[in-house]
Amino acid sequence: MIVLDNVTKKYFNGRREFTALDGVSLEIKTGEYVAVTGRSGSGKTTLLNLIGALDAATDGIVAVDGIRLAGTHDRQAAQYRNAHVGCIFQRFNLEPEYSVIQNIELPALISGKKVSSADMTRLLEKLDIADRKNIKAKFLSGGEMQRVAVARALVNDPPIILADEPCGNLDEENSAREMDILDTIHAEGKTVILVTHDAGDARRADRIITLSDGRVVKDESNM
Amino acid sequence: MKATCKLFAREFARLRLPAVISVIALTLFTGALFAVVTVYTNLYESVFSVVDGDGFNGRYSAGVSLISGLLVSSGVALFLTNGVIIYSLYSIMLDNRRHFIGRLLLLGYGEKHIFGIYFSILTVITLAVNVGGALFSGLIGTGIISACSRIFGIQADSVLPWWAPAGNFIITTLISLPLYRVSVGRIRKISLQEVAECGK
Repeated sequence: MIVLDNVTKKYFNGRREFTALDGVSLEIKTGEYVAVTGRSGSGKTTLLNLIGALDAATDGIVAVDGIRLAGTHDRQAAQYRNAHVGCIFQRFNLEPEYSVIQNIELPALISGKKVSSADMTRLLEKLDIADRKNIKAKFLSGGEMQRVAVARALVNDPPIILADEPCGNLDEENSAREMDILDTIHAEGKTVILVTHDAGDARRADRIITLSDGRVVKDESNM
Repeated sequence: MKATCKLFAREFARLRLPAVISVIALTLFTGALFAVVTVYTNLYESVFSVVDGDGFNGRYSAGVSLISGLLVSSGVALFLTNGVIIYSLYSIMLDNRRHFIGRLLLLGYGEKHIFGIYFSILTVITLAVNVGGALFSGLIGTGIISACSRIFGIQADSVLPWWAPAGNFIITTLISLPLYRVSVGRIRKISLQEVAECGK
């Protein structure tokens, strides 16, 4: 269960103050598939960053499975990011000089978890990148890069997947494929939080949260 | 620990080319510099000793002044060159790996572990530059002096004075320390959110 209670996030740029999230309260149940939509600057990514412990709230409580993220020690936050969440970004955030396998195994290497070759092969085949496993990430196509990023997000089997506009850099065909993969991940029981501009992609989720100027303006079920 | 060792090995392997080139360039430069200074020193001492005997006379003093000047200017050159090379090396390394460090943070690698890797790499590079510079300056300097002695038949010391490599080591280490601190500070400034934004 992800709980945000009256969460505010402010950024300071010199004397200027910008409120990215303004008193947001919401609950996301384990295994739920949630799409977060809204215009640019509405606070979607900030919300995702707070849930992923990539940033800290200025005020309010962010708690995931009973773990309060605000004020968490760096080491605990790192462990949380490693074990609890898998992040998928628009620009993939892969290490270009590492091979596909080296990129995928990075979170497991960090956690000290041993990934058997059978598990790795299964993951590679599931995402249709088995034939690319020894190629450096910089030589992959956009669709392949995003599938490697998905595999990396899944390798530690985290309960939560955070996808920040994962189709933003993909063509129509690869976008559809990416969304099918997210559907499958959700069907396997993971909590998926998808930030998207695309209404069609958002409609795949169980629930659609719309943000505007840092506030939740609509929170509707899509079941 | 295993992750740190593995990542350290991968990172160091990636950085070895600029590191090796810089270390070789620096050691050759400092070695040659010290050799030149020492040859000058010994040449002057030998020449003036032969011409004027063992007495400490005016011409000999002039030679010593010249040599002192050379030593000071060489020291300044050495100081600047070593500083520039070490800092460039750190900068290349940190700029190239900025996103990598961020990605490790994103994927849940502890800040202290990342500092551990880069602390180790900075240390290895610094020691390689400093110790390498000192050793090579000794070897190359001695070689050049020895060659000059044979070719010109000058009665010069056959080895570089002990203070040349030792001085090299002390100078480069002194230069390295503040640069090292600046570099570590730059790693610490890499924020998670900034790197997450890069993925947008």
